[in-house]
Amino acid sequence: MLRVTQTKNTLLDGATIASQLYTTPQDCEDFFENLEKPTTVVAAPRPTFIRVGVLTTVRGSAYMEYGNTKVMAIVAPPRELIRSSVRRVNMGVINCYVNFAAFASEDLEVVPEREKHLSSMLTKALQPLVCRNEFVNFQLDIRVLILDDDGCLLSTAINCCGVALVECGISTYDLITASTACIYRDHVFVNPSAKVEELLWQHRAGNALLGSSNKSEVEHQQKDEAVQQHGLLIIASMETFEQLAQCQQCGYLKPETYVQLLEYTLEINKSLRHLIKRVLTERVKEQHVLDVREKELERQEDQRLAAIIEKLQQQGLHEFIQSNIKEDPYTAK
Amino acid sequence: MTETAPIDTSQSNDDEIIICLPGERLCRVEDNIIVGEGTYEQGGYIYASKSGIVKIEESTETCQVVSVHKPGFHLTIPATGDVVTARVLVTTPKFVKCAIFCVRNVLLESSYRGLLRKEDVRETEKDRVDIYKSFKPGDVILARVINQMEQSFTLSTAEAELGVVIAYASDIRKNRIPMVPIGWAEMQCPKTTIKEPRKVAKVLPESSIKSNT
Repeated sequence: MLRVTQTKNTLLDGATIASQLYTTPQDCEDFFENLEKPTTVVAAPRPTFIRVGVLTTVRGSAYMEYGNTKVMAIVAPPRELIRSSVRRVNMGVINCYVNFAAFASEDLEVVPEREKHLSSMLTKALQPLVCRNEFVNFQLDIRVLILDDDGCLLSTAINCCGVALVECGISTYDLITASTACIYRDHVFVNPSAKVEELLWQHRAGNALLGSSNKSEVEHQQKDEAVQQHGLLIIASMETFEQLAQCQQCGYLKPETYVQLLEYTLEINKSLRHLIKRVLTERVKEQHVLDVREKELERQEDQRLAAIIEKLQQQGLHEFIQSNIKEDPYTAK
Repeated sequence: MTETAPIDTSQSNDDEIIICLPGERLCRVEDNIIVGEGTYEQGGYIYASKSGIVKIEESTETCQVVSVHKPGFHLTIPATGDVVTARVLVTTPKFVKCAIFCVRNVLLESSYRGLLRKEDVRETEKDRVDIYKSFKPGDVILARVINQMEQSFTLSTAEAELGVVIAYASDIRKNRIPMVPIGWAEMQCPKTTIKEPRKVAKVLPESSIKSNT
């Protein structure tokens, strides 16, 4: 993989990861050449797997596989605000914590930074979704664990959190779905893999531009005239009211391209929404069956207790209990 | 509006249940329809805000309550007017701090802070209330939520049915024999016959409550 500096893996004590020491602009070119380039753009989600309620110890949990990206979300019931963090707000507070599993990322140096970035982005995406007026003075903690990273991290995390929130019984205005699309050297990648995302990152860091300056002047001028479009677009949408909950964009995009990418992402969001709907409906049915069974058991238990109480009452215990409770002289008036 | 179908008509085989998901349009807002739990109102329509089963209940005055019931776990946060069970933690001359651990008949996973002020202890003769003669730390009380403050829920025991339910005499803690109420303001330990002042709740047996309503 492309790498600017070598990082020492502190977890693998003594062992070093065989990776490139430097990347030159040429590497970017090579890398791009090797990359599988889509000929036609198919606005469809990757093979997706969603499971609701994976953890029995937590109320709201969801696990999602989006291609090779694997993410788990945990939602805990709202807690009271801690005194130190109290600000005068008339809305519930949402806190998101994103963590990479130790084996999820090869580049451990940038992990804390990415975690922080993803957390704040996720918080912003979920804020318009949750009915925050229902738990004023409370805070909602959402934890996300990334098990495997193959691009589309933020959008997968948003999808997963949306499902986990519904599972936990937190009131939400709508279902949220998110997806990613990007453009690089006139190739549109929907659901870009980690490699493409890294390439874009390198491009933004200036490597690609340096590469162009190395070449002849004529070429350089041509490049200037038509600056290559490159950019990444992450869209989280709520379909009932046709709202965008989160729109994150980086890079250089022309308006037409922007609209085009937006349409691709919305298309993917739509099909993801169908999938999530099906999963959640199944879950409700499953829970309903369990609920009915539990109620039946409860009813039987109640009947048993009622019979015991009946028996006790016949023995005159009822009078004994009643005689011990005296009237409140103030309320009796 | 992209969703044209007003209600998801996915129904189970046996009994007719309507399953809905957040953001699904349930019905139009009308005068005789009340927005119930798990729903919200937007642009003249009622939408679901939780996943679950749609319930349409007949309210008293020819009104219908539309609500969504989520099977399995559902979140409970004390709301204004709810009767809660709490444990007294600290007593001061002006207020009682307690931990709410049960709302209505739902046991909470984590307790919430509750605050019971001196004025809200009793219905009458509020100025003569003495906190120390009403509650002791460790008592289990029934109270009603009257407000939600920034830090905690404000509680009230100004009803005959609210107050101390379970209490232990202060000197004989090891035996843990709960005291027996012998009046609206006194409790007695059955073993040592020590009498202690409390704001006793008049706990009604379940059978009498059912017959009343």
